[in-house]
Amino acid sequence: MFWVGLATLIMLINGTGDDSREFRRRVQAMHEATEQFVPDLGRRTLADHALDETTAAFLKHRERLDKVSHCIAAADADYAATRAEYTACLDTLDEMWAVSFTDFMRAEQHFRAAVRPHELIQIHQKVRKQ
Amino acid sequence: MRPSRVLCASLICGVAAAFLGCVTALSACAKHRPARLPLASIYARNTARLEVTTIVVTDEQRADRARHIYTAIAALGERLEKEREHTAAQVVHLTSQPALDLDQVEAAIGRVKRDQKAAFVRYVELQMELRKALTPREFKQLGRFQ
Repeated sequence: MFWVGLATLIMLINGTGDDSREFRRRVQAMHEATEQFVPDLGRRTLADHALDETTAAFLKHRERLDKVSHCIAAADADYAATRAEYTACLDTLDEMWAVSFTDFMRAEQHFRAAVRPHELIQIHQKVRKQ
Repeated sequence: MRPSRVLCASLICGVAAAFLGCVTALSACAKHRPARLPLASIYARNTARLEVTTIVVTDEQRADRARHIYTAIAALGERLEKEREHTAAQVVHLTSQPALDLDQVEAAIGRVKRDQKAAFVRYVELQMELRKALTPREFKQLGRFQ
């Protein structure tokens, strides 16, 4: 099976998404495959939009992680930092993952609604070869 | 002007131009700095300090203690990285099934969060221990190594 939003989520979990160039390369490949295999302009536009949603969700997740990083870095730099100050850095972790999961699933649903099953297989095969 | 002086002047100009180029490039990059990931930045910061602990901390016993803590932090990061890969493999397996079980995917993400939180609790403990091992001055000096 081919999952768009979930694949991004997996990239974030396993670390391949740590390199945003790898993510951009993959999304670009999906845009190109969509262009090639979805002939209907209206549906193609919707599919492209869903891919843009995935990119936006990815970047938002990275921004949230960046805030966590800065918070921990600030505590690490402060000799007087307390446990409570450190703990506060992870206060939003649950919410962060919940929001990202919802965003990726929404993009996934939008992409699947835009492309036909046989087009999805063609896109999958093309992206996998790259 | 003697050839050696010309060569020397050219070299100085070349180095100065290269330096200015680097500064300009760094300034440009700073505006578009990519997001830093917590695990990657924690790991980089602490391993950088591990290398210089014995230079900054002159007391052998405390230097050993600090090195031990930095090593434990590095090991913690490496373990979390492995757990992350393991969970991702599980999610890949789940998504390769004909029907997607979102509950199981959410449960896998729950494991990632749980692992991250557990590792962070340990990290905070180690950071607190580090402060006991170092003086404020040593802590500040080590903090310069990122």
